[in-house]
Amino acid sequence: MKKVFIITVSILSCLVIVLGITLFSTNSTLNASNANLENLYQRSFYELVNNVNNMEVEISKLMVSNDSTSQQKILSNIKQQTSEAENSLSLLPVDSQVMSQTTIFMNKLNGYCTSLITYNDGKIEEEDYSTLIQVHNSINSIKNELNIIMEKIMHGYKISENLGDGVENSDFSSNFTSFTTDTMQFPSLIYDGPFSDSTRNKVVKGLKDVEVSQEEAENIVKKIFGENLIELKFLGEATSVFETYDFGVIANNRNYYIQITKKGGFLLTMSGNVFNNNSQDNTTQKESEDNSTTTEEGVSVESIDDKNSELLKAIDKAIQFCEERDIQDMECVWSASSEKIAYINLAPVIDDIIMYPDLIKIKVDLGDNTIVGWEASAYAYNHVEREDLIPQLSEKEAREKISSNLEIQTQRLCVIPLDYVGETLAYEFAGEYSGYKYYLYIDAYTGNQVRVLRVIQTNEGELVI
Amino acid sequence: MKRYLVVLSICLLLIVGVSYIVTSYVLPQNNPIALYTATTSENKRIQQRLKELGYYKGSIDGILGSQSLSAIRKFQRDYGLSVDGIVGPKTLSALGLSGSSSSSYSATAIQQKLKNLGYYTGNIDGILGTKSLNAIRNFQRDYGLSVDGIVGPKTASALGLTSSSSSQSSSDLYLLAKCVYAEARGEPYVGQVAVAAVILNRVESPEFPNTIAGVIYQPYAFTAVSDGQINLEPDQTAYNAARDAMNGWDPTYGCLFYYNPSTATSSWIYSRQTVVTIGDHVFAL
Repeated sequence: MKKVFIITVSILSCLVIVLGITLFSTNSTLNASNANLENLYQRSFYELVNNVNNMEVEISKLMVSNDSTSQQKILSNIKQQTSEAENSLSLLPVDSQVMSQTTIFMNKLNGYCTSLITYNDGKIEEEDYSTLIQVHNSINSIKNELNIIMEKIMHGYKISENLGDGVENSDFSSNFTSFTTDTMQFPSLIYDGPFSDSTRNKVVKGLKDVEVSQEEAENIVKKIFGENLIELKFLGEATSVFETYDFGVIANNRNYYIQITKKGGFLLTMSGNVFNNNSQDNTTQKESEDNSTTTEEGVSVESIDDKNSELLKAIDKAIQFCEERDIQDMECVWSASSEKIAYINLAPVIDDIIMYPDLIKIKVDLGDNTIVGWEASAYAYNHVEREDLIPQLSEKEAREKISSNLEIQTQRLCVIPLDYVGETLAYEFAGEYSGYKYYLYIDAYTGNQVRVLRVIQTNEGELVI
Repeated sequence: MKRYLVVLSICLLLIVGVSYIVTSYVLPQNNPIALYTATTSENKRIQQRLKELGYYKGSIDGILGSQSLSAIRKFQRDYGLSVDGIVGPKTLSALGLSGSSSSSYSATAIQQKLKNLGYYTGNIDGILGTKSLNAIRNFQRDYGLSVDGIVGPKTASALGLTSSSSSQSSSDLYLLAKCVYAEARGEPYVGQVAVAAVILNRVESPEFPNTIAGVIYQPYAFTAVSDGQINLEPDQTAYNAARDAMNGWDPTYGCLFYYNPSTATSSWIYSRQTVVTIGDHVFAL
């Protein structure tokens, strides 16, 4: 009996030791990863403080410098600091709601600096000075609030140990409550650029000024599918820039999702997916491995021809579909295919001028030559009858603006959307330089180079950036 | 004596049980095997390829066991790679299996160029097998490059290949697809596109970080990121949805938020202007 007792005890104590060792080693790895996390958070915080401090100094320098070259230099410094600060902000474990005003401020300040550099050559006008004084004040208050938290961290406050069990109970997050608008004043920055308010308030120009009823919208959907329609279901309404009726449709062995605008009864979106998408995944994936890499150099002449004729048929189909919707003069401006789906972008071509702002994106299933995707919000936004499209520059003059490095292959006139607001008439030059294909756009009124795109060959087709 | 045996066996069971639980759940998996147990389908591809090359004789089951492991080692030895049994990018590309995500040069393009130069005589099938590999090696030897059979930047430029440099944009696509899959895999297709579109709208918005990775990994932004589901491998549907969103399709027309009304905990979210309901998600500005 005693022997049994001794053996049991010794085995149990062995067990305890084994457990102890494993728990200890687990704990030490856990500690190491906690420390890593804490370091990452602290680094983000210190960097944020550093960026804000630099920003404050740079903006005050701007107040006393008068020469546009040095102002330009300071502005690009501030720009750099804002984007770094924005980056650090997004890494901190703070509810994005709390920090949203500060993030917006950083991003807008960045855009403001960019627009001062680009449009004013870094020269700062009287009204900009008053804005900059407000900006300086805001940055000072951010700096002061950050210093309070900094104080805490310098006295051993650990960020990762004060996160609670979620956003709401996080003590670290609550340190930042003063960053909401109530206590901190952020000036409104007026400029043209990314994140500026002008880009947010887009105006819909391309829709007819008649309201359609739900029933009329249903008829529009019925007309699209004709006798192939099996089921039509009203899903609800969407209210955003566009007010739409949303429908679910079963036809051509697919589920479709369709949006018709209330204004003008315009087909805004259509997306069709084959049933049992999941069971098909494996086969389509396999196909893509075998075939999709052929876009660049091709497999053999025969299959390229096959592919091209398929694609041409799909483009015809897309243009015909547009005409049925009373959208005229559409031509294909870009196309690619992968996984048996053709991606086709159509734009109106009027008097040999391509209207890029009115792009309609269409997907066609090459298997049965059916339209499976339609996205026409750009057309709905922008399509208008454009008048007075007469270039001030001749083609020859525009050509002289182009770097001699580029070997120009084609040129044509087009209307292109400008970066933030508006559009302009431009000459499009396509050419090659050291193996890459480029598109250059020269403003046909001012002669400025408004955009450069480089074509990138991917497995899925061509991509321009 | 009988009792002693019972106690002993219970204790043994306990030890085995506890240590099993500890090692499998508590201890982090820093076992090298975890590196290449990517997906069964990928493992199957590796096994298939090794079998074609005559290194592997077992069944193609997607499980990289000891037989596969020794096949990989043998292959690595023969091809002059570091013999670690791990199928990393180098081994993958030597196997001719570099998927679209890791290769920056199209396999068919490589074969075509080699064929034009007279190094390659096989079919242009997009698979870099032994024939292609030998062709690459011969080419590298003749052009004074390091003979490793791998088409890196130097070999590519000697071949006159332009990098498709798709890696940059396809990494964004991959990340987007992962987030879509983690957040909305049960949703209808349009709902998945909508989730991807919300992420892209956030990139454009001043209120959020300015890169796709920044938006996705922002702390507390997406539950599926916080709980690690983001690391699941996305399916083709999620990829298609991500691609559609990147092509500019936004079913939400500029929404920055979405929530599931049946699970949303924050009352704040209800104060936003809702735009559209797709599947289980309500999308809001």
